[in-house]
Amino acid sequence: MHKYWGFGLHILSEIEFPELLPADFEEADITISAGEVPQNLSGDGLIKKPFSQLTKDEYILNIKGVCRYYAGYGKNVIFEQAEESELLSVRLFLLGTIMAAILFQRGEIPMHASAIIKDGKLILFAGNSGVGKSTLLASLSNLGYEVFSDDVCVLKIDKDNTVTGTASYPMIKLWEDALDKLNVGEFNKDYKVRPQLPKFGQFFYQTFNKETIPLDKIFILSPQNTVGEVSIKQLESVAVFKQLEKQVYKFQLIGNTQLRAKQFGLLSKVASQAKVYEVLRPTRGSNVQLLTQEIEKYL
Amino acid sequence: MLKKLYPHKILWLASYPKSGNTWFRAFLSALMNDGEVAINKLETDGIISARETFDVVSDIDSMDLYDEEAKLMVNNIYTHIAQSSDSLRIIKTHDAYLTEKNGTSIFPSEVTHCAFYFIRNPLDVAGSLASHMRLSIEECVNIMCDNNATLATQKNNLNKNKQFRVNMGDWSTNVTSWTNGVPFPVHVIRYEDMLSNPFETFSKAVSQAKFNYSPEEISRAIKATSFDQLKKQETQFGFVEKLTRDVQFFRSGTMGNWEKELSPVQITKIMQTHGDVMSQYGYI
Repeated sequence: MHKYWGFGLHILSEIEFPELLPADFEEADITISAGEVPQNLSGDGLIKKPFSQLTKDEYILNIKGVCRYYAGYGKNVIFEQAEESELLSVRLFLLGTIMAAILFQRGEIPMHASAIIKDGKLILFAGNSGVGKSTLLASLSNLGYEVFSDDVCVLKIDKDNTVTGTASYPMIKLWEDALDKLNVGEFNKDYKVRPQLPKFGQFFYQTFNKETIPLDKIFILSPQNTVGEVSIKQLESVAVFKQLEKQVYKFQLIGNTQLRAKQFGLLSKVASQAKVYEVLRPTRGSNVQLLTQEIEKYL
Repeated sequence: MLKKLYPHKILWLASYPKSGNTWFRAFLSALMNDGEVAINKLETDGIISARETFDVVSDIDSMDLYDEEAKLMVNNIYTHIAQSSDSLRIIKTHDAYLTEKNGTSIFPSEVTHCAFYFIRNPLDVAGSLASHMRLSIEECVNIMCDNNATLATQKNNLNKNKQFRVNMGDWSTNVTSWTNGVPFPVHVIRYEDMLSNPFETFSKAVSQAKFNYSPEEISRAIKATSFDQLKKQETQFGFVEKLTRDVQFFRSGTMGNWEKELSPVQITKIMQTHGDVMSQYGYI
């Protein structure tokens, strides 16, 4: 069995996860194993969708030709790999959707955001897939900023009533075209995240920080069908809450009404403690350098 | 409210780009809204190629899927969307009606109410498409004659735009794919008829879709969505669906512009490639 740290959890796995941070521990928070995944779930509040089923404590997902997954009680992940598939793809979706399901089952709130650390505090870059979170993160890393997490960051309220964040794992996923635009030697094309996907993992084990760090600012990236300049404005508290709700990673996997209340409490706290900015990014005529330059003014 | 008449069903609004699809969506919005329409808040339900909708229903980060894998899932996604909705969903598409690797189409027939297919003289589409996509007319004529043409094109197998790759085919393929052998009713509407004979054309569409509106209501909706009205709104408020801010989406809305815009070579190329379908719909 392999032992790792990821998303703030001790993970015991039957298969290797080069994406996660090797760790040593006595007791695992979650275990990952190959096995038979149930065809159906049952119980109160069962939600059935084309490729998934969700209850308060359990979740199954079927990605045809890749893998079927079970996530239960915030502790167990079982996967049943499709014959034509390979472990790389199995791990990719496990570290995305399945970990989100596990985190929700454990009462944690993952945000769809990349993050850096500046002056001991977290700065998050949130937004939908494809908006450029990872590319921005890599670009800031090139400028010497300390990378904290790519794509997902788990937020919680600590004992001092402060909102803090925990990183996911020490890898940034970058599209080939982003890598070409970044044009630096530090990143490479050695580790493809899926065999036929031009997307590459960049590891940062050496500098990875698994502490929980207090949150300072959130930039919400939003594409605009315009040409030209990036615009950044700080949001008022009412707008902040509305925007933050949309940044919860895989929010549709919350199968538990108590967790919705917890999410409300957390996001209210975020809205009151963090400065939240909306970044309107033109879909044409802008580039990552320009975006980085503009954002740096607010860091 | 027409949407409540047909719960758990989808009405597809299909077309090659720049052929009257958005105009018709504005008309339906006005019809549903007592003759009022705001172009940035159309009462229709998006486009089939929207990645965000796919991701929320599938739970999967679709950017990590191969485009072919995602295409095989779209049919189930929209079946689910229809089945879980208590009102008719009205969804736009520029995809050709194609058969995927597993023998299905991305359009689920069991939950389809019907489809409208909008067709416009391809000679006029060329200039309109060029303005919309900020390409030359030459480039657009080539796209219209390329059977592998896609919208939201993503080079090198990338799969990362807001929309999935739209397999629209060449102009004739787009038309014939929707007008031959589709397993649900497809009502064809000529853009030119919407322009020259709006009342009769829109009334016929309303009746084909089995919506129940009076001639007065239809007239009011037509008036609210006249080309000038839509263009005026765009000038005043912008239009969220256009590709770039500095290009007018509602451009001229006329027919016959091609005579001024296209070169003889371009005209010949379109007519040679698409002559059969053009003559079938009265364009030559």
